[in-house]
Amino acid sequence: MTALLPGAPRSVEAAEFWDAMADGRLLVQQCVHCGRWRAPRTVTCPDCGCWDSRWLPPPGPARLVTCTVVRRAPSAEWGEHAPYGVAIVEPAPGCRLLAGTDWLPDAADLGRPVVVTVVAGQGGPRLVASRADNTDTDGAETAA
Amino acid sequence: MTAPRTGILGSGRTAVGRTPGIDSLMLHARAARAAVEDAGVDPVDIDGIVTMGSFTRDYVMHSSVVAEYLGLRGIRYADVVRIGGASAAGAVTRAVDAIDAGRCALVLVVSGDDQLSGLTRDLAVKGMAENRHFQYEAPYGVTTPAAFALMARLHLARHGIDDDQLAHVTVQSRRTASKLPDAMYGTPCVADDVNTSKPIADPLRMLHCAPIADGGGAVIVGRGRPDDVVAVLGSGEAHSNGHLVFNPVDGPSAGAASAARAFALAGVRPADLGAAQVYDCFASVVAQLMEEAGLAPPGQALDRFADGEYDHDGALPVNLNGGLLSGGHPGIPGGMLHVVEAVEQVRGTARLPVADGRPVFVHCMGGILSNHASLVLGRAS
Repeated sequence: MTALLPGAPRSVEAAEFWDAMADGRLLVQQCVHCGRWRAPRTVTCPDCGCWDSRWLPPPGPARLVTCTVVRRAPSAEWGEHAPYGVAIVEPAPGCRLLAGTDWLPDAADLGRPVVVTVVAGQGGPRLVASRADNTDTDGAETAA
Repeated sequence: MTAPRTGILGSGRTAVGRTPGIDSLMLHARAARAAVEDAGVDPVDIDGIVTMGSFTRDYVMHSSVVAEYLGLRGIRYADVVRIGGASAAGAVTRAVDAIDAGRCALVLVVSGDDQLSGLTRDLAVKGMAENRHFQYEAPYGVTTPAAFALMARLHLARHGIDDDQLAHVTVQSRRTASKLPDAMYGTPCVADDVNTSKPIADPLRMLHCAPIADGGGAVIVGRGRPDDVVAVLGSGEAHSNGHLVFNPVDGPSAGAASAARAFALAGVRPADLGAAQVYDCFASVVAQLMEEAGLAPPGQALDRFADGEYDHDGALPVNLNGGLLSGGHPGIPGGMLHVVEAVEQVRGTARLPVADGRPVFVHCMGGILSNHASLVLGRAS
């Protein structure tokens, strides 16, 4: 489902993040002073104001915070993939990232444990959430 | 003799709907003229202007271009407020502050846009790109309705509410609009119409979404006798973030803090209100903001919409102009339409007058529930 989708361009402000994404790995930011996890990147720590941070794999477990299924796509390009799922996931406490989903999620999926993988897309890497306890294979997607 | 009081001296709005050939600047001019004439002031006395930019025809010095177009030459205070859908209420506050600080005496606050007729495909694409974070959001095909759907899903789940309950907001909106002569969508509907309308992004359907429109609104802020002005009894703002993915999701939006500050500064409680104008770009947004502003207990706004409590003859009439959902949504000027309706309610000149001298609450919201500006308008005397 992701092959034709536009991906995320790199930026210098989170070079480590995008390097890892290009390598198929998700990193999140941790404050070196207070230890707070955060994603997406911010320049200072929202809790303690510290300017310094490190990038680490999220300690997990990831959960799905909220989700929707887009049924009316924003463009013809996306229209080929509609309906498609979008979720806000929490890969580490306090971190929030958007992810595609490899199923069509609904209200019952809120809070569900998910596995967040980095998938190569035509325009760049993107995140895809899968049900952590998934045993069926409808639309299952493997990490790049 | 009573000391003069800063407040809103007059208000005006354009027709809202499809008005091809009337571009953004012309809509500014029409709204401005209506407000100037309503206030009974002379355009040459206007020495302050606050605008909010345009989606279809923007300028870096937007307020100066609008002043130039109108022929206003004595501007001592110019600002362009860019806090999304919250801009209108925020602009009124800035105009009052500027006058109280002695920077100017008579301020035109105006916004207008031809979002429906003037939006080219290129502009639409540009808007999408600007509003969704290019790295963290754009790669996921998140439309504006989808972004609000993510928040709606969370709000419904938090209170154990079924998706089909959202329909009550649209039904109330259409019912109110049906009593007005000129609402963009003034035909009453029932919940089933909403719940069978085209699915857009779960749980939102077509009839949960405000229709894009052309239109504008304006107010004149100045000093006058307390009996003659609509005073800003209190105002508040709260701005939590700029992109959906940074939204607070574990509790209320920043709307709660914005509304609480406006009520506290006004010394007014929700129970004192005669009406409320609550930003309604999507049905789910009204329900969430009503609860966060303290106009409904948590999780109960939709029940109250269903029970008619927010109808024009209900306990707390809401969105007496049909709101954006039925009146039409011109984008940034949508907030001005809420402000103008609130002004008319306070003065008793509204088409469905209900406030009966009591204060009126306005809540404007921008981004994906990220930018909030609230006003409590009323008589100072």
